Amino acid sequence: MSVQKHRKNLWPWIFGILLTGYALFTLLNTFLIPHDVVTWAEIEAVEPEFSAAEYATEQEIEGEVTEDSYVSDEISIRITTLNRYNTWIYVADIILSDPSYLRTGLAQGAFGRNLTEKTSTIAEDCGAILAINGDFYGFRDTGYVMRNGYLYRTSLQDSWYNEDLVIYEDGRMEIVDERDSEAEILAEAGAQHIFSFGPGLVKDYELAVDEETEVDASMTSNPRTAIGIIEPLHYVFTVSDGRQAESEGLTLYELAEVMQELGCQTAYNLDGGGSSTMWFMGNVVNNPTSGTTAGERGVSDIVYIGK
Amino acid sequence: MSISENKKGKKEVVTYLCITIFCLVFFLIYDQFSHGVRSRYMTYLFALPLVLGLFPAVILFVFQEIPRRSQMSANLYHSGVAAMTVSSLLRGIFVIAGIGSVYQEYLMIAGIILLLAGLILYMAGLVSYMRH
Repeated sequence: MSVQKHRKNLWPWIFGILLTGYALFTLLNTFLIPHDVVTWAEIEAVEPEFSAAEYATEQEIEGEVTEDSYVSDEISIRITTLNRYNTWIYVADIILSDPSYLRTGLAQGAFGRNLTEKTSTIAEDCGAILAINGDFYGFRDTGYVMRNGYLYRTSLQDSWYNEDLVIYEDGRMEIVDERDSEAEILAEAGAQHIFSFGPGLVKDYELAVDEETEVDASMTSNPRTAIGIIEPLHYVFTVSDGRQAESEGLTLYELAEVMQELGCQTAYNLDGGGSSTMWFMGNVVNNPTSGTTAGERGVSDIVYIGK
Repeated sequence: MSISENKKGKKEVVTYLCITIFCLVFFLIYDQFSHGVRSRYMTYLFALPLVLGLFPAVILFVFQEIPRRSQMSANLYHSGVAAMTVSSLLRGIFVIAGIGSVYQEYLMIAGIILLLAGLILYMAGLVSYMRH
């Protein structure tokens, strides 16, 4: 009798252990274990590409530098601070002589899931002048990823808006729907960088979001990061603080309004929240926070200005 | 219904009630730290053990003339509910963090298969019972 009772109890115990193990594996695999790593060495074997870190060490950054500006013959950067919607917003106005100065950098110099480094660390490794966090591609399995001309991921993103930002080799920015644009065709058309976060904030100088639009289920104000273009080779990087008493944060709609006010023809939302960071010449400009802990957090990638 | 079956039915009701309350409390606490980011998989997490677990358990407990489930059928069904609940919990966490994972989807599929297998086994037993 007791043997029979013992047997009956085995299933829930065995299944419970298996289920707990699987759940733990899923959490570790998603948040901690690096995988699908593609290094620059592997990429070079397929298609010769420059290493941003190597390139930076070969170059010396020259130009007039102040606390909030950088001016050289090729690059002009001016950082201003706005206060809108009870939020501090940091705006970098960028004018380039050549679109190749707008670049992207990857955490640990490689593409892969769960590879992260702080924006400032990646920026320093790349020899950047100015940097903001990117789309944190490494927290998702899907969505196009192209960086510095190399196409890393071509799977369709699992999102209701499916909007990507494409930066072409001539410096143009375009917001495309992944469902209408194959990654390889975008690459053939001259794409250099493709970001899969979104949504698009401004299209043809018009607001592209309404007051109800939010990333997934985020319905409150948050730190935000956005990138936009005003005219050819004239860009805007915007980062807002948030989740702080002195800086509430922005909704997507408010961020879109700010980008429109700055004169953007096209503007796109990048990863926000605790990722939102602007870095300029060795210093973090904004006040990054997750809401519970202050300071930068690791991200997959950055967008930067550098020679 | 025998005394042991009555005790088992009561235990099942209490267990699912506890799991439903736990899911609801887990959501309420998680919601305090998610900066307003919500996922319906987390918000309505409690609905899975409530609808798939507590309601059937209460029905079987109250209406004692309904034929009981076999041990195998019950094992498969409860495992299915557990897998689906854990999958929904994981998906809620991932959506709030802005992450995607296929492994949680596999768990949901496995949960649905287990639940259906438990139901089919129960229905087969029910048909056999009615024939006799």
